[in-house]
Amino acid sequence: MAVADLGRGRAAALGATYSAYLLIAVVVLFPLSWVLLGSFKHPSEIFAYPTTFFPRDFTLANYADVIRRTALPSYLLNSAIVTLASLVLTLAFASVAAYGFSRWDFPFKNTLLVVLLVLQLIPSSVNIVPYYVMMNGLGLLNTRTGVVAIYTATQIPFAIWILKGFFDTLPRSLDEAALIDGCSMFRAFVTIILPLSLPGLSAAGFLLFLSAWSEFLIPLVVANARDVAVMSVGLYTFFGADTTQYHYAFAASVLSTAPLVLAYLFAQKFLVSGLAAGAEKG
Amino acid sequence: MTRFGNALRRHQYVLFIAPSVLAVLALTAYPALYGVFISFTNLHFAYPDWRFIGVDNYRHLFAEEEFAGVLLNTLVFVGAVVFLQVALGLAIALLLDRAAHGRRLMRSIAILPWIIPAVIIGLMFQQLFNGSRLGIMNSLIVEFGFAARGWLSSPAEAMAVMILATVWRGVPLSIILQLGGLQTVDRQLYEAAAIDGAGRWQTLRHVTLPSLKPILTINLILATAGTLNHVDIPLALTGGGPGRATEVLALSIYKQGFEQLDAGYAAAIATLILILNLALTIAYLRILRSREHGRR
Amino acid sequence: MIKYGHSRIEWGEKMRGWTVGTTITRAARWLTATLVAGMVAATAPARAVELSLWSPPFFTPGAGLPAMADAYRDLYARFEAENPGIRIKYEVIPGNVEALRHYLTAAGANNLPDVALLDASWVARLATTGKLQALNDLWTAENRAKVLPDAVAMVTIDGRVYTVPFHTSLRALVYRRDTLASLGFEQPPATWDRFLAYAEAAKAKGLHAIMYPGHGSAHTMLHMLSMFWGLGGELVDGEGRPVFFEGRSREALETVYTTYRMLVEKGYMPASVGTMDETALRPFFYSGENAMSAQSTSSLQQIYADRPPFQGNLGIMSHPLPGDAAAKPVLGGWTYGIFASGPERKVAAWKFVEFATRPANLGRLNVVHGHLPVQQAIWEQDHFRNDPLMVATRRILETQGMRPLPTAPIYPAIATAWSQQMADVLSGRTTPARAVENARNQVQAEFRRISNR
Repeated sequence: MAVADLGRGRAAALGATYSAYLLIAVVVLFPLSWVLLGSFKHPSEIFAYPTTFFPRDFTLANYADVIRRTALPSYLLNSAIVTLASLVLTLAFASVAAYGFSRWDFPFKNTLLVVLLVLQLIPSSVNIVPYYVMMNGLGLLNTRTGVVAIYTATQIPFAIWILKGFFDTLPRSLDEAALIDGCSMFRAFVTIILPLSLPGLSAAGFLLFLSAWSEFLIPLVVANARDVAVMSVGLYTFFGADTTQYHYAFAASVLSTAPLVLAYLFAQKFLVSGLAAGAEKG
Repeated sequence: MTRFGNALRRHQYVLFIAPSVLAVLALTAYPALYGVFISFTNLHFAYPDWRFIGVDNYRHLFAEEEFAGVLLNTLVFVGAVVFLQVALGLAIALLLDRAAHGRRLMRSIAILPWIIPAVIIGLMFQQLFNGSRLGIMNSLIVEFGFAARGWLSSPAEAMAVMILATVWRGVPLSIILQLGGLQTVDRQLYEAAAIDGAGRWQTLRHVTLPSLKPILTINLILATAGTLNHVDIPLALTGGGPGRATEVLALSIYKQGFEQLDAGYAAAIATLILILNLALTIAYLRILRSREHGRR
Repeated sequence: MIKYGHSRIEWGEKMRGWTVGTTITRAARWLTATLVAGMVAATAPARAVELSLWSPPFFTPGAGLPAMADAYRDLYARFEAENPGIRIKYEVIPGNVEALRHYLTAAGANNLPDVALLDASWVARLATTGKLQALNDLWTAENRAKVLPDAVAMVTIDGRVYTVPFHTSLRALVYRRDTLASLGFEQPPATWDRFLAYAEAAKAKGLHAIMYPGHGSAHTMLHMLSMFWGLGGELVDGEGRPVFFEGRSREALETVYTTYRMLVEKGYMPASVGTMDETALRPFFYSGENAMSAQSTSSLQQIYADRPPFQGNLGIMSHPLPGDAAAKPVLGGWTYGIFASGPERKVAAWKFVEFATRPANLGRLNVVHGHLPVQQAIWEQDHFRNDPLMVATRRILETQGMRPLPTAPIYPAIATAWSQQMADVLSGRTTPARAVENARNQVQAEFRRISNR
């Protein structure tokens, strides 16, 4: 092939690539910017015709209003409490269990791992009726405790999965060295293995945070009273239903997504490699 | 060290794994079984008493003519979403695999929808596709000379929007999986293909795709399970409407159980989905096992 | 290790001071202090009663409109100031038809609040749970007389008054005067023929002439009922048995469905209204695609807030009917109910309800909401005497009267059944006759279920 042809071919390919980039960027960013820009518009501008994309009068009043006048701060606080609590509990349970799976061989070990995996795949939509009945019976309906319990239990298998994979990469020699020094297995786990597992714990932690913060169906069913409602329930029940409060809904959506975006920016490194590896290893 | 002490040390793993296993069993396996039990009763949340009614809920389920519609909706929804998610995920992953300036930024943008909570995505698309002239999508298509559409008040369009929203949310995960898979393709194979004079498409068809087959299959199964069980977007975007045109199986559970308050009936639908999920899981496990064997 | 040992030493020193004698003296002193504290507590005023209140958002400090939110915050604050031993703990529950199911579930689980904001149409159904308290003793006949007799009657079953109504609303057609004027209608088209002429003119200009809510929820029923009654139909008989599918009532209902369908067929109304409630209709009204929207007077404040230019530009008229029959406005609205059964809580709950419905307090709330008062005293207040739209509303009410919702437990089921048929009628998927049949079957089934439980 002539060099000139090569050049044209490459230019065309690059052109195609960047066109695709543009298309993807528009498809992804257009809905999000609509919400973001909408949160800065006056309420009456939202219902003005013709529709405007950029705000004519930029205003921060919606944010001030939604924080002062609605229960959004309470929703965000509840989300934070529930997410943090379940995150800590899940990591605690799961890291201990993952260590057990990683360092010991025992009959039915693989079966048990598979069983845990299978149980994780039971979707929350299937269990909502029993969850409601059980939480009602235990007096945990409309409590944050009930929500945290369910989140923790349903996320443990996944966390064990990720953390076991991570622990498997840490050589046994480290544990053995600690044992020779007279530590118990648990001590070895806490003092040697855990500190080295920060990357694995962070990856698992980010995914658990994402999953718990976005969880919608379970709290909707089990804790939808205003004082314990988490952000997703609050947005749906109290902003989504009354469709004329768009300005509140926009601002509330932005505030509710901000923590995730921040966490995402920090966790970028772990995502692609960690997840794909986890799915492959199974 | 006593013999008991030795035995304890050898079986220490029990202490490590028991709390987790018990917690998981108590709140995933037990409720699932409890749900099956409830499906054989006439439990209803507006009335305090209940009794066994055998398979009546299931009989009612299959006799209800609208239920066939729900099944059809689910089929269309899951089929379209899975196909689009996997195909687009693959295409974008291939795109992002190629060296280009701004690739990293593009990757971050492409993955952005994944971190937005699904309920917000549902509410967001609901506003974007408002059926009046005020809706931004209507404004846009009117600019291009098309008539404003009802979107969510038309059965077919509502389903299309629901599929769009779900694909929008699901493609990032698909991209992540495929990108990871692409990293593991043996570079030597690419070199060999280049030496043999293979063009881009040929390389794709004969080298890349076969290597990706396992991760594609995993992607397919995860996407199917994820979409089959997804309630957030259907509930927040359309609530099953207009009428029941976008009501899918998973959403039915919520509507029957917590809007109609018919717990027994909802549990029957839930059991149905559970069985479907078990079938998918078995398929997933088979793939994993064959890959384990393949590696060895 | 060292740290642990240190605390051991401290604890030991604390214990060192304890001999038998000092121990006994200390115990005795502690015991006396406890007993004294207990007696003081017993004679002190009772700890604050915390009243739980359930309400849709718009009747609480959590309301979307700042004016409403502030009004309720102020109400609660003044009530708590006047009654130091009582605190209000309010909980917002969604305001649509789901709320009734919420209450029914709570009744089953013994989980009801002390005070609740209840739609008048739910009262009969909730009374059957046995948990809704009769208020005859607390709300004396003398005070009851100050409220519209029809309003009290609609929450009275077998002589027992269950809730306190505090407003009503008129569901009618709200229109933009400038748009109608541009079509040649300075006066609203009040007769059937003029209405059809208006619809043609609107259609010619590319507008939706009229939009009624057609969604399977409560709003739809209320507009239909107004027309149904105007055409001579009856919902239930004296015993609360549904009779809307018999004789003249059946004809009336079929006419209602036929009218809606005709509006769609002639192109005056889009079939997609079958998916919309009153809230979803409003964007079309705001954008100018629709000149006349079926709304409730309660939504006017919201409409003004969304579109300030509409202030002073809106008119209101009653539903035109074939044969120029006069639609009968439905007297409904929200009420305060009490579920608390223990005497102390019940009295506290009543104090709140009484406070919230005093004319001075309620008047302000009625204005803020755009509600129509049910107390004569409030109708005399400034706003209701002078605001043009209120004046027009009053005229409609005086010429056509209002009819209260029937106090039959089967009413919510009838409402659901009628509304759920509307979408199919609008799109032509079912005929009006068939729709009445389907509604009848659905209601009869539910009636049997209620009668048997």
